[in-house]
Amino acid sequence: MSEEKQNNKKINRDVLKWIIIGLVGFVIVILIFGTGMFVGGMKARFSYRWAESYHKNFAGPRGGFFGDWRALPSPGDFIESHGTFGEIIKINDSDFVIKGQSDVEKIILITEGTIIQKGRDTIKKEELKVGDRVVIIGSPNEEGQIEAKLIRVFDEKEITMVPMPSRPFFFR
Amino acid sequence: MRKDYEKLFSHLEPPEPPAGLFDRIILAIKREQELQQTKRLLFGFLFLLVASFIATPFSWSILINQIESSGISYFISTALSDFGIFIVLWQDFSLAILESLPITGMIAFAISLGMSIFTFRLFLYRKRLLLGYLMQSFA
Repeated sequence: MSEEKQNNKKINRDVLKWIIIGLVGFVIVILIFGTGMFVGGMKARFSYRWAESYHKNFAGPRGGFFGDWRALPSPGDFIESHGTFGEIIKINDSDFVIKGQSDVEKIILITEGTIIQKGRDTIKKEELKVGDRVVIIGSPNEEGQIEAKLIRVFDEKEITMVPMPSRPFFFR
Repeated sequence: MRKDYEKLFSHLEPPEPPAGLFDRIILAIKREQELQQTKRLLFGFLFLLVASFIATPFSWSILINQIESSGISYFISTALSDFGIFIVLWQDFSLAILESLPITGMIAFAISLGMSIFTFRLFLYRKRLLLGYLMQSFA
């Protein structure tokens, strides 16, 4: 009798364990899904504002010179809004334009609080020049621009030092 | 024709099967079933092996391509080199890294890696059975 009770207890404990594992798994999946939706939503919003303000920012057709701006972009074509990298192609008084991934131009605003780092030193915005390779961390504004909080200027040596895992030999 | 043929058959002793025949038949059936199962397992294993051999390097290449084009390595490198600033701007850094995560490549690589590990584990657990069957087939 007591053995049967013990067996029942063990079965109940196993069922409870699997219920807890299932619930934890479900919460993790929901969290990942929610994060994906949140990040995707931010990228989509920024891409929309960027395309809407393109003619104002760059004096060109909406959505740039490539493709139909009205067509829905695929999720992979959404533009990152909180961080970007690329080459400076134009410098203005309080902003500059960079050419980033897939040759997309972005306006980067420099504010009072923007930190500009080159190597170990903090530099002034006047020291930035066309052709510099930069990484920007910031936040997007309503006009499809990025307000920079940190601009890191990479020199050629640093760029080659960024560690990248190697590809399988037959894909090189 | 004999009229007492019914009596004739009643006097014939029914042939007795050899001792242990039933057990031998059951054993042979079981062995055949096991052989079929091993064959199925071997084909499944070979399919998984070939698929994981093709998929793993291919998905790795996709992942590396996406890491290169997303710029995530630059953000991580910046976070590491300017750690003090990273602490202050951790929210923007986190969002920048999250936005540039190569999701497709990561999922593809995770699936193919999982498949490779499962194949390897299958081989480790059933290597005696699989190798035995192969040896038997090629002997």
